[in-house]
Amino acid sequence: MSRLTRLVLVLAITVLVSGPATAGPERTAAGGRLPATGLLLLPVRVDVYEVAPAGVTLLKAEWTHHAQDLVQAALDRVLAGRTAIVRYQPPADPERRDRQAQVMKVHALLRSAIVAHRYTDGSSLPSKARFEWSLGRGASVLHDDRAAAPYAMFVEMSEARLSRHFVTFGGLANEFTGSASIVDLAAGDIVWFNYERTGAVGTAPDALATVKRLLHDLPF
Amino acid sequence: MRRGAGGLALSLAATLVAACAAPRPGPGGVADLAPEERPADRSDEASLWLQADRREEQLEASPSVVRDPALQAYIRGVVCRIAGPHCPRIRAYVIRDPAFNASMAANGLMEIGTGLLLRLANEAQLAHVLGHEIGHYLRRHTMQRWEDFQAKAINLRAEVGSLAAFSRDQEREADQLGSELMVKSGYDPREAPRVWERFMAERGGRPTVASNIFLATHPPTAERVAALRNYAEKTVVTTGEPRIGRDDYVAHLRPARRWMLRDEVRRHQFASSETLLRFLIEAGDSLGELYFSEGELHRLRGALGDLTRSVAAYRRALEFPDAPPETQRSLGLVYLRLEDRAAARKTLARYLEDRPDAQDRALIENQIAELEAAR
Repeated sequence: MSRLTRLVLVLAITVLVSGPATAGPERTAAGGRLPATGLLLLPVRVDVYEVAPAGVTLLKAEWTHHAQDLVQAALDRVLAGRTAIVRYQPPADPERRDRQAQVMKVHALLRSAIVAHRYTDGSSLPSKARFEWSLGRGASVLHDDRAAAPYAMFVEMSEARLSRHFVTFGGLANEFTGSASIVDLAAGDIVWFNYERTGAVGTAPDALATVKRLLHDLPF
Repeated sequence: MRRGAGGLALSLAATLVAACAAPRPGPGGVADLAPEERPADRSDEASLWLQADRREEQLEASPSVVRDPALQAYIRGVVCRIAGPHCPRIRAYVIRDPAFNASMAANGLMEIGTGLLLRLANEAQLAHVLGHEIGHYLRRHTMQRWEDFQAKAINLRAEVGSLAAFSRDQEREADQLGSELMVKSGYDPREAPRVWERFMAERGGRPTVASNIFLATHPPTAERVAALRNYAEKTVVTTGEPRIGRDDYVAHLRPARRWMLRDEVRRHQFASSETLLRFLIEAGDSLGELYFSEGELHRLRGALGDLTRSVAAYRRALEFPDAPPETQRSLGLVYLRLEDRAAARKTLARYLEDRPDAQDRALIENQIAELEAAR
């Protein structure tokens, strides 16, 4: 067997074992259809970077603040009428605020792991055929006392725009990633998740289209 | 400012995000920040602030931040004394980091490493460091550095050496401004060069990457010492007796000193730690803890003669009331390695007498039992 044949075989086996990356939303068995009893909407995180000529990125304040407003408005529009929305407010108690911050950090790590292992070709975990990711029961610290929202939604988006000084030789373009996840606050399980690599948040129509694509097939 | 073992070595990213040092008008003669000033949202400076805001969000929930209210209040007091009307904008975080580090971000977020605090002898030296960092903030050095980088990158002449030279100029400017601020606040400027003299002594003349004059983001330490000393000689503090504040400084650091010393020894930068311990022992505060740390250093290094030196250091520590209870345990373990079983058994038993609630009690009891069985 030639070296090339062996290489092709190894690659084929790797792809077969690891499986193809997911396109579209993932969900647990419980995440098929959720009761529309309330959703805690955590602060939307939108980062818009400028890629400088030397490749260094700068988180642009004006673009980011503008995009945050556009995405928030788009979310309000897309979620309207589906379920009662409760907006997150940080608690006054510093200890509780700190515990909530830790849960959010865990979510950020899980989000990265899900993207790496469910949405990246050749990187799926053989031991994790089903979609099972959990923040643990500690996630219940996010429960809002003002309203009984049994689920929480995290939304993150990041766009990198090439600087006007950038001289492109082809292949370089603006980049976008976005994710949304719904967490069962009692069990801590991520019951629904989606990740998109296409989108834009520079204008209201773009932001609305991006949010609609990210939240299509919501379980509410 | 971000000082590594080689002296304030900055990565390119850190160079752009966190500036550290002193005065000059910068390209275009940028005006100092006014006390309530916020950059316009559309400016690159606002973007640098936002990046620093994100860093601060992480810090607020980070276990690396030292949350001792008394120490925080003390540092805050010195910051406000130096920063004057800018005080509300300067947020100083003490970070559990045994390296000689401090940094200032564009938005007034200041990070001070515990390794730096451990190396300062008094409040005037702290004021010098804080003044230096505040100088970066006031002079908008992060912004100036970003603009310098952008201009050079666009013109395809982003020579690392040129960027580093710009950074060194800023460091000189921050040293100068820091000294002026400390004098204005009533501190003794003669303490400023002493920070760097001690740093040089710890380095022991060892060359580092950052000591390359073309790549170093900070001026040579000897040059800084000379400039600071020159400034101190020419400057008269007019607000009465210049403040040094040794007792206050030592008292506020004392509760954290034990774990700071442990962090220092665990860096495994033994030559540097040995010099530092010598300085601290000469200063004469908390000698039991210091000799214990010296013993730990020798025990961990384990070079020829180190075990004998560690025994001497532990025994010296036990002459002082503040020797940690672990001194007996460490001494016992060294006796074991020296195969002095009788001394090991006796010392470990003493450790358990002193620490009846020791978490490693079962382990030590087992060790003693083995020693007794071998008699």
